[in-house]
Amino acid sequence: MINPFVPIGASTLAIFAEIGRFSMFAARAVAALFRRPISPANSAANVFRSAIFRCR
Amino acid sequence: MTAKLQLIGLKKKLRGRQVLDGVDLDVAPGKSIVIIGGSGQGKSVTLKCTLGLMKPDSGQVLVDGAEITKMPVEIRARVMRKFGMLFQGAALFDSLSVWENIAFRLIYADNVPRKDARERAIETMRKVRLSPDFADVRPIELSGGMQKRAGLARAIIAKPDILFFDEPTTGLDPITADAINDLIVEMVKELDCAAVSITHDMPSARKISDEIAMLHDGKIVWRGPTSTLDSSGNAMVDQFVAGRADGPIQAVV
Amino acid sequence: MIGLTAVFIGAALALNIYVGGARFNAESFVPNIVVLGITRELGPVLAGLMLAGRVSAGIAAEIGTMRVTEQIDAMTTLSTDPFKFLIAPRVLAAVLTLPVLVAVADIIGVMGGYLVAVNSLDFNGATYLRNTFNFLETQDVVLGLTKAAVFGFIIAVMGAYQGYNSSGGALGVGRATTNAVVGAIVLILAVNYLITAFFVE
Repeated sequence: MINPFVPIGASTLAIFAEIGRFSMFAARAVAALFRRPISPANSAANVFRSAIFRCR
Repeated sequence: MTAKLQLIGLKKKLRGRQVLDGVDLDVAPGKSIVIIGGSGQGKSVTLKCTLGLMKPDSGQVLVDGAEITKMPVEIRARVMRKFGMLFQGAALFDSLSVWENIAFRLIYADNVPRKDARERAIETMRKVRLSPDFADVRPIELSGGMQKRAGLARAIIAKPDILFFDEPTTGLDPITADAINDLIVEMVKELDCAAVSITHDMPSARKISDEIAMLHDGKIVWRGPTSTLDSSGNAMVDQFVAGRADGPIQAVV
Repeated sequence: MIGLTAVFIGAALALNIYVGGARFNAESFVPNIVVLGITRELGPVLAGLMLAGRVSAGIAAEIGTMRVTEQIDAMTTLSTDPFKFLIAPRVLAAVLTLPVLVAVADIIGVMGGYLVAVNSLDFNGATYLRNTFNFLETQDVVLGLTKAAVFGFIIAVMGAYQGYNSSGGALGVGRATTNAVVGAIVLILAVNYLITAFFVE
């Protein structure tokens, strides 16, 4: 008999690990926003334009 | 004389496999070394650890005597200025034009004004014998050989001390491959820089190297001047150079 | 696209509220509940979900392709931080763009409700609009637009995260794209509840 809580526990752990990795990544992205970003005006404007264009 | 680049006991485990098992290598200034070895023996991983794209589990990478694996990213970015790298598929940015690709480091890392950067990009394009007519097209419109030339131009524009080549001739026809080999030799000589290449293309390895090192099972198993390659006395090197399926190395099929 | 979604949602909402309201003689609250539902909940969530499909997938595919063709490694060797150059601008763009789009979607959604109410439910147009605007509070709009900005952040970061960590050629990029959409949708719905709960206290 397989204990049904084992796979559930494992996948819950995996989800939390994923959330952890995602949060680290998000933190790096936010940090990059505040550290003097490289050529901010140009690339941000480009992406902003393309985002609006794509979002229609 | 201190080595330009020195790897000491690099170890790296990937997905449970010991890919690098203590790689030691040193490269003298102005020398070109080629690392040969079969697929999956750790050539790419060695290069990635050296460039700081991967963190080795243990071991050191010394550039001009300074250990770089534990440097914070910001400071390592400064060491990166000494490096130029030509990737296997050239890895040009497909959203930028050819000249913006070549001048990428100048524009985005060194804050060179765009006008000056463009001039230097076109000058570098001439050096790698890429027509300036292609300056404003997208990289996707270039042939494989021209993409390699553009990638090389991007690697050398800031006059690096060490050039890295990841299989520079893969995917090219023999004539184009030879032209790229000539170009590599010429650029290394002109910049007077050290070069580290990985390849399994033997004619290319002979042509662009002063020294050859063979990587097998995550270790350097043989190293010597290119002229002694055929009299290495190492069974693995002999098998690899001759391209035989039978010998001490089992072909991984 | 968002406009189209918003019109239909607003229209359907108006009809449902009318039917439901009629059960206890509260038909006249249609404009109030439509505008509340749209600005506080449906506008940001629907725009977020639509854009999770479009923008998150787009960013994941872009950055994933750059990862598998070694362009991200190349950027690092050129002394440029991919987070600063590729990811931060996209996150910024999404965080700024989404509230604008949601504001537009809110207006269109209310318009959808208005059209149905006036044309098929015999509401007086002027009264409907007066009820809508008198009822709406600043807090509702702030909540909706805050949600929109947070969803924009989730969409961009999830796309970048999946793309940045993709591996294994075209297959890997495809997987990254799917994961980005699914991940962004789940996270948007979860965070939507948390923000609402926080604002309601």
